[in-house]
Amino acid sequence: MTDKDQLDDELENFFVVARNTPPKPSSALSVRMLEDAEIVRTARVNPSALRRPERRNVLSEILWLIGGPPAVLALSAAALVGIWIGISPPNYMADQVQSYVQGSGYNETDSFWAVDSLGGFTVLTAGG
Amino acid sequence: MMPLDSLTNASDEALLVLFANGDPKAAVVLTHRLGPRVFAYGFRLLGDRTEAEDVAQEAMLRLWKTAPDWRPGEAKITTWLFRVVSNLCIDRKRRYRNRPVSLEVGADPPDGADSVDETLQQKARSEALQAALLYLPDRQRQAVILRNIEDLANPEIASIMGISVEAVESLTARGKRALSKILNDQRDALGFENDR
Repeated sequence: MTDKDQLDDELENFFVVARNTPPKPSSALSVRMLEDAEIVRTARVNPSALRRPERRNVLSEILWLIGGPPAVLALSAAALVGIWIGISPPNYMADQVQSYVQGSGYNETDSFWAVDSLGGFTVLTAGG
Repeated sequence: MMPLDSLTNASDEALLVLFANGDPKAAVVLTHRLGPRVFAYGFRLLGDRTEAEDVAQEAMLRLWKTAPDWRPGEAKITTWLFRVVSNLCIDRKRRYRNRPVSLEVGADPPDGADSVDETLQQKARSEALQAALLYLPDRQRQAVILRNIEDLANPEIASIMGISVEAVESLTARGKRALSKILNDQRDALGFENDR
């Protein structure tokens, strides 16, 4: 037997021991593997079952509380109309305000509710 | 769903198809059949039990996920798993390159050993081999483990490592020479005179 053969034989003895005594995993590992398998299987069979609840931030929570996207659209539209009227008010509204603030018809007991909101239509009503 | 007993004789591929079709028992059989083997290979590559368990779990998770897309006949599941474990271990070793080499003991003594001396010697051999393997360069270690411990054929090892059969032969030859030298240096300390 050559030295090389002897070395091979000796090394083979180590390999035989290694083959016969494999390192064993903990029992917890197979539990973890099976848990993973079940998660994957369930997600495939019933995709919605394991869907994570959607995370929403504070702003989106408030938006949902006041009625969601339709309410937000309506509020935005109302705000834009308000800004537009403030920047460029209709003629009849400017006349009404001016006459009440500068004219004789204004006193503190007047109620704003008494303002004639149809003042701009006097011509039409006068004409029958 | 098939009874568990009838699944134990099914091939790995058949079990994976059953799992892909929603049979949970197929996963039980595959886990018990492949899990320990995947762990053992990872442990021999890394020398660290915790790391090897993480790698084995990740490899099996990838198998569960790939089950519906598995194409029968293209590759053996064990070949695919050994390739995944190899890549995961290489990634981890790159990440922890500066860590000291672990000499953790992996195997318990076999049941039914003839004597206490024999048991102790087998344990010492197992530990000495594991320690020596960790001194080999990564590719040599991988080739030697697959060829001489996992007992795979060279073409399968070539497929796992993505190299030619000749390169596998070269790596195993050099790896075994290095192992012989390391173990020979420790022979007297480990008390292996009986082998001569």
